[in-house]
Amino acid sequence: MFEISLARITWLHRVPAGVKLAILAVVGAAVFLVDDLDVLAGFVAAAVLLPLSAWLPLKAVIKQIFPAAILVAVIGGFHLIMGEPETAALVAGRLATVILLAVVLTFTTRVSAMVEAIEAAARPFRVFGVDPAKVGLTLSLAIRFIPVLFDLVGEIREAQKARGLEGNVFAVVMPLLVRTLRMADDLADAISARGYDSD
Amino acid sequence: MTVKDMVYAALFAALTAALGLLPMVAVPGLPVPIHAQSLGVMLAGGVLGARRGGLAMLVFMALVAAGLPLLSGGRGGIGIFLGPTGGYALGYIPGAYVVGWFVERFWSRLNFVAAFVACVIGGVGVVYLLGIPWLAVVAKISFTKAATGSMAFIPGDLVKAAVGAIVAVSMKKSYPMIRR
Repeated sequence: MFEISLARITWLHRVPAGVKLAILAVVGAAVFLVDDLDVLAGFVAAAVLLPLSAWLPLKAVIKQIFPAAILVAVIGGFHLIMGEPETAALVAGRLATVILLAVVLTFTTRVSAMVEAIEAAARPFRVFGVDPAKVGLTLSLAIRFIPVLFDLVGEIREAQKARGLEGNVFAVVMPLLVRTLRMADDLADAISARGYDSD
Repeated sequence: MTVKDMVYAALFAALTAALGLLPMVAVPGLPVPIHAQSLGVMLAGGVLGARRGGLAMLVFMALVAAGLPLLSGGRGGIGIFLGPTGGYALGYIPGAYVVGWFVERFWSRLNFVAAFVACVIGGVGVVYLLGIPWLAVVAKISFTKAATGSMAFIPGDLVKAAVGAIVAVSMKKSYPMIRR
């Protein structure tokens, strides 16, 4: 299955997903409480050194953060024009820290580990009627069917290309929806037929 | 959560991912192409209804957060939700729910106008309701400035709402899902 995380193991891969998520949450909250630029500079430096320490592929990292980086530059630039360089540095520093740490987490954590972390996070919600096993099955089903739906989109586009309708949004979306719903009905029947306990 | 809830939510999350594969698509009669993926929120709510539509977007966003490169351009990861535009991404979940809620209310007499209103309130209104304050707080700009900056995307979003409405009405005729 395709994912953003690296196939090669770095030292950050060995840190459990739950720990990385907790660190991200704590640092994310901390940078928004920090008003001191010197302290923030320390956070930024750490967030820049971390991907370097794990030798993350620079090109792939840049691809992931590019749109956010542009937006951060625009926001920073706006504050500079308004004559508030300190606000500019504060906002840019905070966002850079959080985004870089999040990218490090994404590059060094398998999707399967993240799904397990989500399942674990769902456990306390059992009192509200959330079944963690169902959360896990739903996510796994979606992951399993992504390549199927990718193929289906390709197939429908080919068929509509033959009719000269390749770029028409309705000619692609309508058959895609109907076939997805049929597939869902069959899949639900197949799961029920195997005695899956729904409630 | 029934087996059907789980399966529809999972497959519509996968479908939203697949829409990201499409390059810009043309809307017949309009000169501007649109990104098909952002239709996902309106399609999920408009076709599946409130509960399942909202669940589908929740599953999709959970997969993005888990590190699958599902957003158009091959982006993903938890950073999507922590950046300046994180509010818009999160807004897709209640957005789909609200689109579905209105479509369910109008179901027996669903026409283009009713479906369009549903798509605009849920798929545009609710998404901006989360997105704009988020941007304002994170970027330390005023609420008005954040709102003004977002206005540039309104015309494109209205086109998407119209597309979503047409699809919701035709799907009701060809494959009605709500009350099934």
